[in-house]
Amino acid sequence: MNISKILLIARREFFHNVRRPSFLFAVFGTPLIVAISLILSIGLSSDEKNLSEFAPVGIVDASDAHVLAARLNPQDSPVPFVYLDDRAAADQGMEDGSIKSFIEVTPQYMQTGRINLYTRSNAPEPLYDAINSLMLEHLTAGVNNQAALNLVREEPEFDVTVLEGNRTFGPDSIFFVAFLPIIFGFFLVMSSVTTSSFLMSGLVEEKTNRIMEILVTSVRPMELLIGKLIGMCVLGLLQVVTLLAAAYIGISIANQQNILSGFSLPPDLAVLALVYYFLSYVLLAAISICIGAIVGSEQESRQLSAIMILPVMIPYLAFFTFLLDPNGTLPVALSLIPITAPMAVLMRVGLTNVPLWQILVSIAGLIVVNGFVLWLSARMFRWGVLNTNKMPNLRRIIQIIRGRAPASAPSQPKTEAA
Amino acid sequence: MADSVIGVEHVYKSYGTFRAVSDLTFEVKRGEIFAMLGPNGAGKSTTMRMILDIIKPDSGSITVFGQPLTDKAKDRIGYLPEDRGLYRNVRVLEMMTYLGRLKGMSTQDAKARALELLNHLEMPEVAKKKVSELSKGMHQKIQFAVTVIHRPELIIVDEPFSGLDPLNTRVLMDLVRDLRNQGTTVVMSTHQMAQVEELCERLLMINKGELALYGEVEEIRRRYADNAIEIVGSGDWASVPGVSSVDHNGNGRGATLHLKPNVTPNDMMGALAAAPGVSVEKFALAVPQLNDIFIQVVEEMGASREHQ
Repeated sequence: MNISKILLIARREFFHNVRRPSFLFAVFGTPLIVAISLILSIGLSSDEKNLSEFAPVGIVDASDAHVLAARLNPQDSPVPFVYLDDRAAADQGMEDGSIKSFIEVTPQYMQTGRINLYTRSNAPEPLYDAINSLMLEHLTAGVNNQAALNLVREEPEFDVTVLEGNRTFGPDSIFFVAFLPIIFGFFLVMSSVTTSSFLMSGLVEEKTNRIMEILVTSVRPMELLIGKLIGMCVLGLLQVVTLLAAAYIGISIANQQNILSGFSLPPDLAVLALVYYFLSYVLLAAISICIGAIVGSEQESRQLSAIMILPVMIPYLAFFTFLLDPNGTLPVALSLIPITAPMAVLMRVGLTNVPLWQILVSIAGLIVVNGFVLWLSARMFRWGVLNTNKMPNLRRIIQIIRGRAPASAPSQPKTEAA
Repeated sequence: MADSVIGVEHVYKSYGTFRAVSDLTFEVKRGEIFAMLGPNGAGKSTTMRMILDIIKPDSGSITVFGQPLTDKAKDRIGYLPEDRGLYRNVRVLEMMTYLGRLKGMSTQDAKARALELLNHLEMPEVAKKKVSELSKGMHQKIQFAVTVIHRPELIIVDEPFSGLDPLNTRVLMDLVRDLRNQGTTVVMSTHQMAQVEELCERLLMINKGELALYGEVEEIRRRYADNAIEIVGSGDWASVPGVSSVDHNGNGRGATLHLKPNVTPNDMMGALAAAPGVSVEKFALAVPQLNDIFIQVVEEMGASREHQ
């Protein structure tokens, strides 16, 4: 293997395709669409609606000084407070839905100023403000308490815990929590579809315009294949990183505006996205190479690539099922099937906590299937690198896979035979 | 075989049930322009591809530069396939540089050489243009330039002049001649017999995958020559002793004199000098055109197969 030639091919593939208008649209247009969606979301949302997802707020006063002994419930508070006797009562309240979040004033509160806040998702700023007001009201009730007055000069420090289990969302926030992860998963997988389709069209173009015959006298077919795979993979990663950056910036902005507070991207989503992008790219790229190798024209390749995209899109087509029951049989099954796994898992992580075993099984499945399809693509590519004739039939394809197909005539066998 | 650049020995190749090449043996010598001739589908392109290791022969052996073709040796070869193309949406200089780099050149060297070739081909203005903006003739000249960008020791060109106008054909033929003069070995396939007669020292003719003719161009032409002379002048040619028949050429002053079996051209020269009322302005051996030989050989092989 000539590494410098492989890298040269990879570089050429990257820089040639990165200038394509369709790629530029995918990279910059997609985040733009996400941004527009966010702006529209802002217009359709209000803080009160988001706060309702966290109310009533349970109060557990575990402080030595019993700072909330007065059990005040300010009239002007945007959220109602429910005073509870202990942590067990709070957990029970969360379980039966009588409260949607709760705070636990820590035993050393007067020394540390710390409060534990338990929610099912990231809390919006108005909730913190409401809790601050409540604390202030209690602490200033005995105005001669100097220590208490010192404490209220500074805002309390919160230790926030987002509770495990299926996330629950109010009907008003369904749009944010469902729409954005689905969009996100969709664009990530479409990114690998885009780059692998670039790979296939480049391959078919090189075959049909016959420059391939010149290339294979300069590099081995396998070097050409690997160079193309690397170049397009980097291209796709650029797209994914741009999308991730845009998503995080957009969500940060939205959170600062106290909207989308019921929605958050898990911190490990970026890693998951990159892993699934890479695996789905390799799978689709290998399938694209198989198609590119056996077809004789761009028209044939377009027909077959449409068939390739369909199974990838199944989770997207079933997104209502994902929305209503993200841990249901169908979403879990699609998360474990290699070709649907990337989109299915990425859609689910925004909606629920996907069990680790399902992620590991889906990744392992993708790795095994990718290994097989890559082997297949190498075999097909070697056979069909110069084939511009009609696509072989199924019997011939099986012969190619088994390594028993007769050599493909590089040009006009009918003329030669005539 | 020390000066042999390509050695092909008893090579066979089939595509399924179709036999493309059968028991082919020949060699190409260093520094020569070698022609590969044959009708469409004769197996020329298949043979070229086997030499370049694009496809493998079923049996037989092929050596290039004295050994089976290696990856490193591929960088010493330039190849122009018959069905050729270029990256369409790429600028000419960028594409030539890339293809030069794939042959092991540095970016700087490839770029400089690309500009040198574009200048040589009298088209420096196309360097910054996209390939899709160029005419067909320009395409072909650039394809040829790409073939020789890395200063190869051996170039294999399949129908290099097809579709070119006479002016561009002349430009590329001159370039081929220049390359030969610089020591490059050239193997070319063509249907233009006049180009073979003008450029090539030796030829190989293949028909239906089998060797039909192989050797020096002039020797083959002499081998297929009739016992005849080309003559320009005036007089009653048919009355000259030793002439069996006369073919008059278009303008009336030229003719081909077919001689009787035992009469040599020398005998005829004497007979013409002695013949009354005959004036000779030009006297030459009648050597057949390669085109005629080509047709004759193909027809003979066809007849022979039918007979079998």
